Amino acid sequence: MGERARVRGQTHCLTPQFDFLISTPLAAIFSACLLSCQISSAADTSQNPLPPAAAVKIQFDRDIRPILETSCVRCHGPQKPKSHFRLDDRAAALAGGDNNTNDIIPGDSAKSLLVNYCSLQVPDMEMPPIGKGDPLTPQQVGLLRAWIDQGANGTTTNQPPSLEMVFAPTLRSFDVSGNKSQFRAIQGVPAGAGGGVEKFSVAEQITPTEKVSLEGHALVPESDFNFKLAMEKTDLGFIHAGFDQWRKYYNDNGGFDPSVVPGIFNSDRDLHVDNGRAWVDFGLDLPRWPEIVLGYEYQYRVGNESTLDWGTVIGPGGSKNIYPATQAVDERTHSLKLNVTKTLDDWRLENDARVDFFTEKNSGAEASNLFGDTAQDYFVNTRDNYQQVQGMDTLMAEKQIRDWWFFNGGLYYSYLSGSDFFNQSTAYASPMLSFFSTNTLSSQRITLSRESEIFSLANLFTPLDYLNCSVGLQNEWTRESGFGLSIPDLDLGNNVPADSNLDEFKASQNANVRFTKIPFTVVFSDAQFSEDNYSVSQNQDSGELARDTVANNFRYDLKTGFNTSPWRWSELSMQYEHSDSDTAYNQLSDVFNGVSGPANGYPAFILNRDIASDQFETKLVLRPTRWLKTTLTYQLTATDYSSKTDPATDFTLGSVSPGGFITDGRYNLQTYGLGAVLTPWRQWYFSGAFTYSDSRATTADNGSASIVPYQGNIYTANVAATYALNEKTGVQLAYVFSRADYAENNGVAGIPAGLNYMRNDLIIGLTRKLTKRLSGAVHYEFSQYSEPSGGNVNNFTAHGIFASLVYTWP
Amino acid sequence: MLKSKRIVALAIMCGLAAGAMALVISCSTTAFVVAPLEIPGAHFVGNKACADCHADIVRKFPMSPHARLHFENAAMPGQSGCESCHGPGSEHIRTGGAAKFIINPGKNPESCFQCHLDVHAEFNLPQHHLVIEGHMNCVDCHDPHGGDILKPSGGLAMAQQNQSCAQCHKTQTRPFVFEHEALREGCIVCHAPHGSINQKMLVQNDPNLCLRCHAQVQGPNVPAGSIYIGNTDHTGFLRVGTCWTAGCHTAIHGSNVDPRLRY
Repeated sequence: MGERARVRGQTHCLTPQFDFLISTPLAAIFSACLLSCQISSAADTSQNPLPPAAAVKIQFDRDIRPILETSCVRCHGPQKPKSHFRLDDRAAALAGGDNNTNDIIPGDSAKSLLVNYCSLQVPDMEMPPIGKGDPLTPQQVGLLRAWIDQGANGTTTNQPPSLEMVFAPTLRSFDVSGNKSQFRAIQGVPAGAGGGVEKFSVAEQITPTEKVSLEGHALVPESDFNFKLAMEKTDLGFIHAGFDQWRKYYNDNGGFDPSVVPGIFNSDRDLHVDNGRAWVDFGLDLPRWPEIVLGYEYQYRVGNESTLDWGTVIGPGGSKNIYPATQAVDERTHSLKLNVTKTLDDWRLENDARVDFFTEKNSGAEASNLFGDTAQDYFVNTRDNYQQVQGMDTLMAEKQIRDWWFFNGGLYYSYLSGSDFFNQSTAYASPMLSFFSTNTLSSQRITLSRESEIFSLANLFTPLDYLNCSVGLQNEWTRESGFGLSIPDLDLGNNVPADSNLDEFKASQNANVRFTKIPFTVVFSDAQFSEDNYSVSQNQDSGELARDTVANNFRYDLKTGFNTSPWRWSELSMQYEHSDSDTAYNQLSDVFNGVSGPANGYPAFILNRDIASDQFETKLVLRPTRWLKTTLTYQLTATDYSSKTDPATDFTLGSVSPGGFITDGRYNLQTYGLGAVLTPWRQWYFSGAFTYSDSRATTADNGSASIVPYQGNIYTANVAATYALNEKTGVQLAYVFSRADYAENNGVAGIPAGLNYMRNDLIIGLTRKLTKRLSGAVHYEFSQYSEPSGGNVNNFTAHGIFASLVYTWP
Repeated sequence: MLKSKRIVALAIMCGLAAGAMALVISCSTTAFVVAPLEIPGAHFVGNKACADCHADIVRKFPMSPHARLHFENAAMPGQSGCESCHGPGSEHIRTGGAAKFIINPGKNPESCFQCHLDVHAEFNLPQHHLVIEGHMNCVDCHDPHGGDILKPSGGLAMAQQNQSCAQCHKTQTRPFVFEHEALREGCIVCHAPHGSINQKMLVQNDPNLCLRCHAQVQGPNVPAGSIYIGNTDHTGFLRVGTCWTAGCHTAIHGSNVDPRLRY
């Protein structure tokens, strides 16, 4: 920007009447015309004659390549060349850029603009631009002149080979003893044999401006596929297309309770969900045109997953809900997008429009075991068919208005329309009990809508070199409405119409300051505030529910800290953060189950809720020697939850709560980290990271034996080492460890939901370069998982062997 | 016990032997290993050099939380700024922007883990988003260069509520006739977004999770050990499971048919 301002100022002196043009798309063309005149003049009548051409026979690699690589190619290389002028390829260089075709005239260096620019003959067109590199010496200009006079032969730096290819087939086998379902959920691949192509890529630079590439991988049986196709042509556009799919596996176990025999059940189902997307983007990138991207994307999640809606098991001490539940998932999204980006008068304008078509057909199956065996005796089946269309448009503008002021603004609009069908039925497996099966909970006409508008501003100010601050605001308006048949509490068989409306206005502001005047140090402070006012109206006919709530949420987040590095071997940073989210609910209307509030309990029950959190973190980096770098971190988090409620009255017991303020819960967490990177010899690389955390969460449980503090420790370690035995052979080692002890001892009065486990994963590998283009790798993996808190049912031990080849061209 | 000690002793001796062999061999080979974030032959050049081509990013980078830790006069090189995440940039510049001479944390989280040790650890817990496995990456959810780290790249300056999560989890973040207001505090009130020891990446796996907001002053008619939530006695329900696993509040993200979020 500074240079731009300077250029504008100097141009103004020369041609004040054309000042406005310098900032327009026509500016470059017009300026080029003006400059051509000046150059002709400069070349012919310069007060500072051009340095003479060097009297040597030019060797491109020795004489010219270093100059171009040091001073030119960083801006005039293959990636987004300035003025579309490239110096990394002879043909492109001779073709010139946006403004000229005579940058290089083989055989005539005096008239070649490149030489005039580099010898600072042309005001405003010094190359490298002032402040972006040292000017060329007269000797360097002389070499450039000699190169051009001798024909300007040779192509500059690292011209990529026309064809590059990688192909890496792989095979593996895992022998697993123990729980194979847990193994694949943890490891991400199933037991047994597998493999495919770990990586493949083909890239061809067809011409200096045209490139095609295809890359990806394909692994089975975990259905892990990735294909990416890119076709790009400089100054025209691109086509990017691809397909990506990966599978997530789930354990088929439910909960664990030692008071029930057996303590854990499994659904004996192959639970996995395939997550994928396919896309194609067409991009247009013509000079002086807006950048346009038109795209289509298809996302999906399809399969069967475990859920936590566990079913009932009847044990000797009563019922416990630990029987595993599953859900058939079918979620698909089709998206169309159109993005347009254009720079006008130094304003960068971007408009992103998108339409999503989303459908969800999920079916939950919650089974129960009621008769003392392991069979599924009773089922709750839930079906949810939902679809929505959402249109979104985002318009953004940003500009470096002054050297010290950067501006960014945006508008967002979204409209969503959805509809839903819900059905829940129950069934008994025994034909004798089929009479009790029901199909009562059903709603077929649910409609939903959401409309949002957002206005956003952000400014960055740099009034002094050592001070910058940014301020921003964002206002959001949202309106939601829903309507459908709902399920009343008191009369399960008869659905009643229900509706809800939400009106919301949210205003957010942020500000931050960064100060670097103190030697070797930066000090910063952040502040974020938001106020969210919304009103919620919910109604169920027949007097079931009538709720009108006006809520106000005020939230702030304050942060301050520093980072200092006074010596090359050390850096220390510290940060303290305090945040608070406080919501006040004014319950204007409160009728539930036919009873008027305020003592009728939920949903219009909470009058105030506050979440306050303090966080401190520090990081110390030490590099006592060139080959050792250590990082130590510490983090402390303390969060308090409090609320105020209405009083509550039970039909039989009378008053069960006087209402008022209560500290609901407290949460404390400390995390310690140690990271180290060692490279004692050039053949060695070792890195390790170790963390330890302890946390404790307690709530106001009134002494309930069902609830115990959620507390424990987590230990993790990641170690990786590589050693080059010789030019062809390398050895790798990786070790991952994690352990947690959050087991709960409340099996009689509740569900011991906490987890106590340990995981070890060790990989030892060998890579060897077999030929110039072919290398091979083998590695062994040992994986062990034990989970005492789950009755050791999830334990497994696995041994894996991997072998792969990598072929590269050239 | 004796057997395990022998195994440990054997492992230590094997390790020492391997180390000694490696030490000897390391003095006799010219091969070398490239550690993560190192780029062969490259050195640090500073943020200003990056601005020549990446002006759109560099000019707004001072607004980023990452920039608050950055200063040009740090004595330890490469600890902050563009090259602390992207690696030393001299070769990238010399070759006119060759992608193979610069590190893209959008494809490999190794850069991020250099500082965020705790996050790296969370990704190694039993339940986690599949970042280390390569199916996701940090920039899917975070904008490392913009003013708000808690949103994906692009779009407005500040994140909308749950914006990152809603990209994929449409089922949970869609509108409902009866919403669960906890979502207004953000998904991370209940979920650990990087990883957790608990299923569904819950921050806690027991009734403490819900009681943090739904506890209440218990009246004198409520005996110690019993719990009322609203005007409903939950003592027996909590005995059979947590608020969601007991088969009750299963529509925890919102319901279209039940204000108590049970269906």
